[in-house]
Amino acid sequence: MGTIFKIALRNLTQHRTKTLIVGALITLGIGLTFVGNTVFESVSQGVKRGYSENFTGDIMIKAQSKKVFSLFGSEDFSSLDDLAVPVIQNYSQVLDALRATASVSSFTSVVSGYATLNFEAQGQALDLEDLDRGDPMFGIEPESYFKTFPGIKILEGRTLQSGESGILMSRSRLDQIATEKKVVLKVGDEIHLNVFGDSGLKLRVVPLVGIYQFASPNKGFEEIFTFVDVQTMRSLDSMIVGSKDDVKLDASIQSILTTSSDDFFDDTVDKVKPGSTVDLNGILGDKTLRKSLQTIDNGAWHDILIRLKPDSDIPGTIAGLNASFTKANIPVVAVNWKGAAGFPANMTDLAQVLFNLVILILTIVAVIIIINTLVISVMERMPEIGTMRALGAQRSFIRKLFTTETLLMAGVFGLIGIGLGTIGVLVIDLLKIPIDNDALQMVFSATKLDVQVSLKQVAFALFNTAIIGVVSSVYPVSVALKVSPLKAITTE
Amino acid sequence: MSIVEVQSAKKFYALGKTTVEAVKGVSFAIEQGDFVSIAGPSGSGKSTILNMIGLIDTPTDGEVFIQGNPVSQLKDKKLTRLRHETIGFIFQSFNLIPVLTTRENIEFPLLLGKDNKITKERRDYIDFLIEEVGLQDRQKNRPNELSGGQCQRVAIARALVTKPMIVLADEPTANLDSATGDAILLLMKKVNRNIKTTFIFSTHDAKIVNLADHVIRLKDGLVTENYKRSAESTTMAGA
Repeated sequence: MGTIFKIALRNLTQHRTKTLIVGALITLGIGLTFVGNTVFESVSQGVKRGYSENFTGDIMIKAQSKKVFSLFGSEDFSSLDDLAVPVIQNYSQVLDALRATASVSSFTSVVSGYATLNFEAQGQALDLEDLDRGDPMFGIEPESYFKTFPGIKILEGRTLQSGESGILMSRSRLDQIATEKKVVLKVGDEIHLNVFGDSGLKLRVVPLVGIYQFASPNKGFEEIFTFVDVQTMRSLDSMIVGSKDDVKLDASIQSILTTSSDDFFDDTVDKVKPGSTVDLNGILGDKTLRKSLQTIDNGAWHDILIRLKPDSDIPGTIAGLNASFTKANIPVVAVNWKGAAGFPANMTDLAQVLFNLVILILTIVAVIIIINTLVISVMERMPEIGTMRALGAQRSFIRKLFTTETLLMAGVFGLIGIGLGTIGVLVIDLLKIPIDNDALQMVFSATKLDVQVSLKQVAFALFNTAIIGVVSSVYPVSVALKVSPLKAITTE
Repeated sequence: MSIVEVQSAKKFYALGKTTVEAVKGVSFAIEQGDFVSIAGPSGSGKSTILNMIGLIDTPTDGEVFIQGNPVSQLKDKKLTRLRHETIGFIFQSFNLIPVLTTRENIEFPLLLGKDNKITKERRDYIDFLIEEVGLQDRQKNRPNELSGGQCQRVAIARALVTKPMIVLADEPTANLDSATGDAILLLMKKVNRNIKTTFIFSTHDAKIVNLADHVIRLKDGLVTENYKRSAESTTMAGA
C-alpha cells in the first residue's frame, strides 16, 4: 500500500493543473454543502427548541383523523370543508395512559380556534381584513399549561387563574395593535372577541389579565399566540354537548320543515291579538333537552401537549403511547413537536431539502467534470499502466492505484472544503446576522442567525467526500483496468 | 527442455474489414542462457513474436510454451503472475514510471508480487544491479533527469531485479545513439554471461545480430533462418 500511496501522491503533485481543477470543484462542493447544512442544522435545533419550549411541548396527542391537523388547525389547504378540529375521544383513558408513562413530566390540554379582535368599542370599525384575519387563540387550563411551559414569562399583570375568564396577550401583539389600530390596550381592559361561523355571530368579552413573553422570545409567534380561558374558547368554537348528536324529529315537526315560510304568515292561522295572554313558552314546549344539549362541553379538548423528563427518548415514548392507544382502541395519535407545529416547522426541512437538491445537481455536474478529467488522465497514462501490467501488476493493483489517487485527492480537497466551510460558519456566527422579518422569525424560530459547527456535519461532509471520491473513480478505474500490457509497447 | 518453445504460432489482426497476418506460423525453441536475436526488417513480425513470448499477447493459432508449459489458455491473473515471476522487459522507449526515482523504478517489480517485502538480501541485490548498470550517483533521480542511455540502464536493472529466467528486449537500442546502444548491448551480454539469464531481443540492426549466439531471422511473418553460434564467434569489440 505504501508504494501505491507514494505513486498516487506523486502523480497528483506531478499533474498539478488537473489536480487543482478537480480539487477546486471538490473543495467548493464540500465547502458549500458543509456551510449550508451546518446553518440548516443550527436553525433546525433553534426551531425545535423554540417550538417545543414555547408551545408544542415534546409530544402532542390529537384525535385520529383522515385530515391532517396541527396545533393551529387543519393542514389541508386544498379544501375549506370540514375545517373543524376533531375533539379527543376517550379523554380520561388517554390521561390514564399518560399518567402511566414514566417519561412524562407534565401535560396540559388545549382547545384551539380563531377569533377576531373587535375594537369597535374603541372607535375602530371592523373591516373585511379583520374578519378574514382572526387571531389564533388557545384555550388553556392555566395551572397545567404553565407547568408544562414554565419558561413563559408574565411581563405585566398576572397569569390566568383556573376557572377565571380572561385573556393573555403578548407585548408583540399589543404593539402591533397599537400600530395598526391605534388602540393602546393595557392590563384590565376588556377585549371583545368575535367569531362568525355557521351558527351566526358570537361575541365574548374577556379582560386582559396579563402580558406574556415566550421562553424563546419570537416576535413572529408572539404576534399570533393569544391565550384565553378554555371555556371562552369552547363557546367561541361552539363546542357544546349536543353538537355531535343526531336529533330525531317526529312527523308533525318534520312537516313544518317542508312548509313554506310564507305560510307562517297566512291569514288562516290564528293571530295573537294585542293584549292576549297566550303562553309562548308553552307553545315552544319543554326546553330542558335543548338547554342541556346547548351546554358547553367541559370535557372537550382538541390536543394534549406533553413535556417529557430531560433526556427522555421522545420517539420511543411516542411509539409506546401509540401502541397503547391502538391496543385500547382509542382513536388518538401521539406526534412529535414537528407534527404538532405543522407546516411552519417543516419549512426549514423543506428549505434544506431544496438546498440539498440544488447541491446534488451541482455535485452531479461536478462529478461528471471530475470523471472526464480523470479519464483523460488515464488515457494519457496508458503506457505507464501498460508497463505496470507488463511488469506483473495485477488488475487489482491498478484498481487500488487509481482509487487511491481519486480518494486521496477527494480527501485532501474535501478536508480543505470542510476547513474553509468551518471558517465560513464561524464568520456567519460572529456576524450574528439579525432576522428582522416576522415570517422569517417564524421559519427560523429565532431573531438572529446563530450557527455552530457540529461533528455530525463534519462526519456528513467526510461521508460526502468519500462518496464523491468513490463515484468519481468508478468509470476512470474501469477504463484503466481495460488497458492491456500491450499498451506498454504500442503506445508511444 | 527448452525454456521457450514456439509451435506453429500464428497471429492475425483485424484491421477494418481486412485481416493482417503478422505471424504466419512460426516454430522455434530457445534454451536457457541463450542470447537470442530475433532479427528482421520492419513488419516481419519480430515484436509480435516477442509479445507472445512475453505473455502480453496470445497467438491466434499455435502454442507458446514457457518452461514446457503451454500458456495460451491461461487466464489474465495467472498470465500476469507467470510474467512477473519468469520474464523481465526492456522496452524501446524505456517505459520507466515517471514519478519514481531510479532506485524506486528498479525496486518496483518486487513490490508487485505476493512476497513484496524489501528484505536486506533484496536491497543488496538492488545495490548490486545499480552498480552493475553504473547508476550509483543517479539513484535518487527521476527519469526526466536522466539521459536515454541512463534510462535504459535503469530499465535493464528493473528487468533483472526479480531474477527472471527470460529478459525480453524490444529494439532496446533503437532510441539510443550508437555509442550508448553499444554500451547497453555489452551490459546485457555481460549480465547474460554472469547471471545466465536468457536474453531475447528483437532488432533489425546487423551489428547487434552479430552479438547474439542464437539468431532467428524473420521475413513476412515466417522464420527464414534459425541458427546458433558458439560464444567465441559472436562479435563486438569489448564483448
